Amino acid sequence: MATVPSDNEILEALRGSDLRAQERAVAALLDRIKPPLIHHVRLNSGTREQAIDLANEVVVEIWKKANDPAFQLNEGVQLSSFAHRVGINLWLKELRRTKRLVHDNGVEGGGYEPVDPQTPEDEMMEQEPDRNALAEQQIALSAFDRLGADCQQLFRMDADDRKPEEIMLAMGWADQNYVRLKRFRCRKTFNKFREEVSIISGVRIQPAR
Amino acid sequence: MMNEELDIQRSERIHAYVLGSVSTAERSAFEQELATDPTLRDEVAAERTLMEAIHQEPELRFRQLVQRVSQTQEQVGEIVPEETPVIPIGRRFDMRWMAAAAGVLVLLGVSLWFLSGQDADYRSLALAELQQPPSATRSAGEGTTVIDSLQQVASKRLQSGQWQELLSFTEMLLEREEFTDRYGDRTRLDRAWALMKLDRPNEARDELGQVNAADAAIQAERAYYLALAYLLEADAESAREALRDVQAPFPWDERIARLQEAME
Repeated sequence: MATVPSDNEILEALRGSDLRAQERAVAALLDRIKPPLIHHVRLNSGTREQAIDLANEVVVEIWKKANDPAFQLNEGVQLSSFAHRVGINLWLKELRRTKRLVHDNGVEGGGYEPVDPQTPEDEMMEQEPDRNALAEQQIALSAFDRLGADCQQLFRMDADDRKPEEIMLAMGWADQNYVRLKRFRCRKTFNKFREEVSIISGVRIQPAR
Repeated sequence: MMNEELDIQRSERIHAYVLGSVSTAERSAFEQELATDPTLRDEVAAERTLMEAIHQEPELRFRQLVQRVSQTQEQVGEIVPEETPVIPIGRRFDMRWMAAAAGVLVLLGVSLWFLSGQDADYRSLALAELQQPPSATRSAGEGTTVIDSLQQVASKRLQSGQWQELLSFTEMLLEREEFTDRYGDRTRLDRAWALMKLDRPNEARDELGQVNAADAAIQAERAYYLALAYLLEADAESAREALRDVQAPFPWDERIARLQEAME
């Protein structure tokens, strides 16, 4: 029978490269944080679906922390407690963003304060992810996954700001004109895939030519 | 050819602009064009998003993993939070839940102990059949339309054993009428296979209940899958019933005959 992983085992698995171990760690973490977060969100103007999105976002934040060499859980603080507080603060931000929280006037959500507002969990929230940008990046990555190996490698080298002559040599292509031509054709294919993925995912994007 | 060269030049300018490898004068000129050319703006946005996605790849992949795990948990109902009380921070386990879980495990163990050897054999038989390639005769989505191309992606996921990805992907596809019209039945068969591979025979049977093509091959495949789903639950009688009087063309005739023989 599988044992319940410890906090350290979860953090280790999150920062590791073993996908199976990562999946198990994510599942264990979600098991711990989903129920209280669902309860909290439902009590504070949210839906179950929003709570699940929130829990997922918390896991991503914990993953980022786990990969930060400077991160260490304070002594006596459990990972689930830390994650729960991250979730509460994230939800507070969400309420503010959607203007469902108005302070000091007794309107819905009034008096709701973040847990321990001066903690590092707050600092983690400073850079709130742009959901639209994330959705578009996910679409782009799915389209990228469908490209052939050459196009993928070319785009990776582009993102790495490699010079055309480096790309030409690395790919074994005859000249730099071929790099330009290949980039153009790869981009055309990418844009086609991107549109298709956008259609099935229901996320609207502006089609590129 | 000339047009393509112009397009390549345009593409290279976009690329250089997004990577910031242009002079101040070039940047300024390009931004003037951007202000008046919405297509160019879209192309720049697409290029920028691609570059960002590659830079953010580890995080995006991790987000996909979290989404997948979370969806699976929701589907299998591992989390029952509707009326779950808030667990106080710092209290990781509630002993009552632990006790209930232990009780379920004991019951499960006792049930397994009572399972006869034959029942276990039926399940092994299904598991062995599930080691076969799923659907050797179906095409992977011929044609070049967007819909065909989507079916090709689904088919690749099936062939490469990406069961969870297949389920998420096809769930979206089945919401599109033009897809369902063309590939609905075969997609449901693929989903049933994936669900059985994930040991979710109940859901597989639900999926198979929605396959309604009159085509003999599809009906035979459906019957064969249905029998496997029943066998996974060691319900040999229902499995036999599912295969009764099925007019199966090749290769389903062979698979079904083999299964019937093994159940004798």
